[in-house]
Amino acid sequence: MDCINAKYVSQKISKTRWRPVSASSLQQPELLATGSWDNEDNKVSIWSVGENGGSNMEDEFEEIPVTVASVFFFGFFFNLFQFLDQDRLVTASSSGAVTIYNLKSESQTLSVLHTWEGAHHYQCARAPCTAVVCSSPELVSVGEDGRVVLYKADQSRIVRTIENADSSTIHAVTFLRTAEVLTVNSIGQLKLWDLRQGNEPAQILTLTGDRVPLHCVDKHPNQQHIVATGGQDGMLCIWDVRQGSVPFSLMEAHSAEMWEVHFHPSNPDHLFTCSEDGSLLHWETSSGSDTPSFLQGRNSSMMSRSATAPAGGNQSLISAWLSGDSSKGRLETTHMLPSQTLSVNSLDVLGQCLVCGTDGEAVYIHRRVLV
Amino acid sequence: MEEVDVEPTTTLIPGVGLKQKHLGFEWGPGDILVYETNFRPAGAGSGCPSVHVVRKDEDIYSPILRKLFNESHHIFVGLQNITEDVPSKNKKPQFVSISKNYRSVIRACMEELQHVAVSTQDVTLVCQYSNQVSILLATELIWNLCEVLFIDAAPAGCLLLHLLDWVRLHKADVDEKAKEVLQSDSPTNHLAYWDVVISFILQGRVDEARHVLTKQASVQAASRTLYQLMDTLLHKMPVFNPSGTQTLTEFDMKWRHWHEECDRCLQDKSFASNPHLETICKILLGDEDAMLEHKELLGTWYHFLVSRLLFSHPTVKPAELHYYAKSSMDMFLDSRSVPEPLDSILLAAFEFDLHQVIKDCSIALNNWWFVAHLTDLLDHCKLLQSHNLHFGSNLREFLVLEYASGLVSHHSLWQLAVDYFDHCPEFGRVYLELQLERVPLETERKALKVLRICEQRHMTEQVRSICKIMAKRALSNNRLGSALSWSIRAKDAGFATLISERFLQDYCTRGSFSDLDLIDNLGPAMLLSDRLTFLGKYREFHRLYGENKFTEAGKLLLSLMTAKIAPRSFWMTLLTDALPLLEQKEVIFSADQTHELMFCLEELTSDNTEPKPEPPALGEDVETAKLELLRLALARNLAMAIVKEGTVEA
Amino acid sequence: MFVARSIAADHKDLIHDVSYDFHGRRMATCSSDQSVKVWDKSDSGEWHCTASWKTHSGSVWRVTWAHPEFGQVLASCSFDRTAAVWEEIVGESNDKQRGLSHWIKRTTLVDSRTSVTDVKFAPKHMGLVLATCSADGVVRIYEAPDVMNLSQWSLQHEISCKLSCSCISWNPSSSRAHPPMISVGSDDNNVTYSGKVQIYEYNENTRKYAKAETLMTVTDPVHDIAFAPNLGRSFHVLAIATKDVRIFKLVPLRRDSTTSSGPTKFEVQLLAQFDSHNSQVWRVSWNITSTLLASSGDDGCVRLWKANYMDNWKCTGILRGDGSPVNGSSVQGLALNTPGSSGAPTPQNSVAGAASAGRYEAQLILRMADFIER
Repeated sequence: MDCINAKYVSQKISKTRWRPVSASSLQQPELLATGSWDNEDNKVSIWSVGENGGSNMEDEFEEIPVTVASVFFFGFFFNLFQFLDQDRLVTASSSGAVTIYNLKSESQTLSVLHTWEGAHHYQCARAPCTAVVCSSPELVSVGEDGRVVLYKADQSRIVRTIENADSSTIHAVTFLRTAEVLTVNSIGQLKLWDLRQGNEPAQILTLTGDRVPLHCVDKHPNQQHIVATGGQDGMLCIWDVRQGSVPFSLMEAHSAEMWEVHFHPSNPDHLFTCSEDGSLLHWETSSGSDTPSFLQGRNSSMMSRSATAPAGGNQSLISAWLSGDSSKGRLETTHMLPSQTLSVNSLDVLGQCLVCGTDGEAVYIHRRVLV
Repeated sequence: MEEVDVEPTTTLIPGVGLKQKHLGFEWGPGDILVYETNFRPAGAGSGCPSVHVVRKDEDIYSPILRKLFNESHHIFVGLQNITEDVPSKNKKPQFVSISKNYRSVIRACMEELQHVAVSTQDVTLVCQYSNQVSILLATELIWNLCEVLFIDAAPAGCLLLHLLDWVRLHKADVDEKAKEVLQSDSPTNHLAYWDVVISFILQGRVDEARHVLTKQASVQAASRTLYQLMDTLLHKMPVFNPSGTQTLTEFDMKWRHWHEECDRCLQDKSFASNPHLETICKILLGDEDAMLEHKELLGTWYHFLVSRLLFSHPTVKPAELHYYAKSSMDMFLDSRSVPEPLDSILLAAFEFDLHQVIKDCSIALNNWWFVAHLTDLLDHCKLLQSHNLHFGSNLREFLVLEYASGLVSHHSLWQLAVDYFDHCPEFGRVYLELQLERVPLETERKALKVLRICEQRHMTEQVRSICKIMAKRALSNNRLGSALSWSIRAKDAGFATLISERFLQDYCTRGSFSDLDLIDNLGPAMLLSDRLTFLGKYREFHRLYGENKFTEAGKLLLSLMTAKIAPRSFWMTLLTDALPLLEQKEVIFSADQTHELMFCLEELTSDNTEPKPEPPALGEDVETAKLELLRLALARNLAMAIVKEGTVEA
Repeated sequence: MFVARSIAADHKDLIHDVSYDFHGRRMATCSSDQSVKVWDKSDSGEWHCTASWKTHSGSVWRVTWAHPEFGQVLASCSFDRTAAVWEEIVGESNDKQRGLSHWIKRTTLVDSRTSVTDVKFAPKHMGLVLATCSADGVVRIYEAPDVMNLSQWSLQHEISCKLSCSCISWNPSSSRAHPPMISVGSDDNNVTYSGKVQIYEYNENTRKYAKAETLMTVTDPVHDIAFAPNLGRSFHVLAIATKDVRIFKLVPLRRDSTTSSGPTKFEVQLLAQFDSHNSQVWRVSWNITSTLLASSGDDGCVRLWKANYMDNWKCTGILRGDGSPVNGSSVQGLALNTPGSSGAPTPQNSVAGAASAGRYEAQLILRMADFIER
């Protein structure tokens, strides 16, 4: 807890992302972007974070002075964004527009490269975009209108739209591999889309008959068939999209909506989740063998673990990842935030650095995540 | 003591009142709309009127103060939870530390405001910032005093030490001046030199005063002994040490001894040659006139009070404070000047009249953040119940509700208000219900957040209403699937029926279902309404048919009619759907089943009151032809079934 | 308080009513120019007119929104002796993307033979129910039995009040202990000595509205009337605009077993009475939680009234046009954050001197207004 920094930023945070660092370098990320929501002037802000990689716990992070402030402001109700690469940022707004920005960190400006206005819309009105995902140069957005829209960063035309991809709201999307995306919706389904194929999903996976909405999805960085999702009931699900249409394992994680789930990009035995209940969890599977622990069990099992552990609890709850034939696999969860109050809407982890943003208008940065 | 009376504030609406007599208005969530009008029935009209949006306050829109609201929310929630897990005794240190947390948040906020005020060019903004700083400053001043007197409730001896800290914290300009003096080329010749020395003495900062005095001693070789004497006096001045073993009586003895020594020095005119030192000596003796000569250094009557206590009554007891406070105020203020609200508030605090403090603060400050949090803390310290019986905790709830109502009307801070309402036992719940359903639902995500708050508190009516609004909106955007999902969540059978009908209508016109992903996965939710059940089952029929499971499909189709699940208007469609099954090579419907189908058809055709089920695009001829075809197919199937059944039995 | 923005309403004549929708994201204005305009608040907080149409053939007195559960529905009433119900429809065109919306008339209620002076939707738990009142002294209650088909409205009740009616207010309580209740105010000048406020209550057995109470003490013309949100209390609070502002508390008396079929009887208490508008008061209205009452009167001011924790009512704020003649209390300065001429620090010394809680801190405190909410 002691190496976590909090900063109050006077805006509710909808999204937090580290700017990617080049794959070859082992440096820690230095730039951070946050998006706000529910304000009259919502914006994306870029922050610089202390230089010396967390050696000094007093590291403050400061907002970069904005030279072209106007481009940061969206005037839309809810902002989401992703980094396309180091220099480009894609935003998606509740008015259904998707925009690519060029981020020049030297001059500290953000300039519009291209906007797709009204990419998401109803019959006669604009529809909120709910998620956007990038796999340079391609990007895909989804929305409350049930559309899946594919763009290419260097083409001004929309590459492809799947109308009626979903009868309900699509809440999240992730690339599995090139031209293959996975969406999750508000009736508890995962749909696998091959963007080269027709307008029907290649596969539909369903949670159970309970139709519990799914809010987030992330794929294992090395094994694309392993996918984690988080739902309205705060449950974490691990899926093997090659095997069957039911989840591989289910774990009680949070007591309210899970807004984001992320595998650690370089150490996927670690996983992070955040929730409306105001908690941020670090999940660690420690496997006895070389095979990734997510593959060790074959039985679905429920692990009872209260996410409402006492605030400030440093204690780790240790339990076997799956109780079935694998006795080696173990799963450990840790509360990352000192106390729970308002919703943690977004998190991002890169190297040892973790960032999350809350409805309590605080951004928390952890510079020494043990992975 | 009479209430501080404040006139209502008037807000002027620009450009209004020239043409028309009246102001119309309309309440909004966080504002009030006003417009020029004439309510008299025969009032003359005029064009181009405007509607003005009047907001209740400005501070809630300040980004810096938002940090105060968010951080203090955190502390507030922590405080509410304390009560449960700690035994009621021994909580004082916790309450003091919470009080300090609140104050440090105020301080942080104040510093940031000062910082931006300095770097801002805009004069009105600077004004706004500096006003906010002054408000926070006064807030902290009062809070700190309440902390010393009520929450910490220090006994005699310690009390003065705390009061000294209080005065030092709020009269910190001495340090700046001292720095300026000491860093100048010739400190002793600096105009403010003696001001600094006396200010230090008045605040009881003896060591610092001695340090500054040494400068003078080093240049004025002639009067070195004089300075030596003063230095000794100051050095010997006893200070109560609460952690030491010394008792209060021992301290008092020592102090009296020292006091006599000072008195001797004054009597034998030791300092007569140096008026400055003589003044200091008088101050050390608690000479009020000498102190009052330095009014501008004291600044306020309460500084005077503390200095006076320091040099005359260092072992003052809490109960005696009010006497000294009142007399200090009277001595310090001109007879003609009326005490300001802040004076009255502080005086009330010194008189230990908590209710007066809170009442006056809420009237004079109009600052719900401050009074709500302070009162809540004092209530937790059980300080409100002990006296005044009629409105102890009511007062707390009243103030917390006011504060939370301000928050909830803000487009973004509404989430913070929830925890405050939760901790208002009497009206918190009703207020929350009334306010939450008014939160605009711009996106589904926001709706989900509001729903979560309602569901956690079992506000079933609000949950239903929000889902219904979302369903209605989805329907108007032609998103049938979403609309159905929302009405299932709202458990709104009527609306689910309506949407199911829309689905069936679409099927009739297009010949195919939309939103299969949803309809195929209804599960138990299907049971919400009969029509929805029918929709789900009918779709199941199509699936079975598509999978060539004809027997099961046929059985299901028939049961839809015989069990009266299908609406009568849809029977014709179902019978038409039976046609291909009837014309299969193998017999799908048994003789009994065929009889039942025929019965259904007859029931349908004999009932002329039913409106024509088919869309009008199909003419009357087509209709009759279809009927004939059905009758024929049924008869043929019956024959085949009888033959087949007879064969098997034989 | 301060004026955050002004919107040029662009009506060609007097505005008679402005109405916020349930969430405060839309508003409707109506005018003597016979039109209604609908305004939408953009995400950035600006207001745009998205529809404007001629609604009546006379001055439009009032416009009001139905609960959003029933969709986007407005009702208006007019001097032309009618009331009308309007619904926003999503058309095939791209109007909405261009920032325009379509409203169509679902019904015209033509039962009144005189000017329809007020129109109000009933609380949502009663369904989609609308009440009108008119100068001919009749309160009419209509219902749309099928909430998906707003073109069918049936006249359910006609209550004859025998006095020209000016205003109505539904009791918002959804408690089962409280049957549906509507209060009616009259501005009849011809009858001087009768009570001008009547309260009608629905009787489950007779399925009719019956008079439960007449406030005999209110004999001057009544221009507006407003029930406060109930807050789960057993009693009701009613504000009345007449020659002054009055707040009444209506405490239902325990029903006598013999008269249980009759309407509820109330003990009527006068909670507060303010005459600072000097003459006629024209409008009264409660905020969402009924902690504040606003009133507008002949003095050209809107006054805000608030009860403290001891239930003492006080005026806490005044809104006034800057061109209106000053009478009564003096004008106190435009915004609280504008420095006054005396005693106020200049910005410079205020910042520098902030650390020194000087004498003027006490003066500043006078101007410490509105930290959170007035």
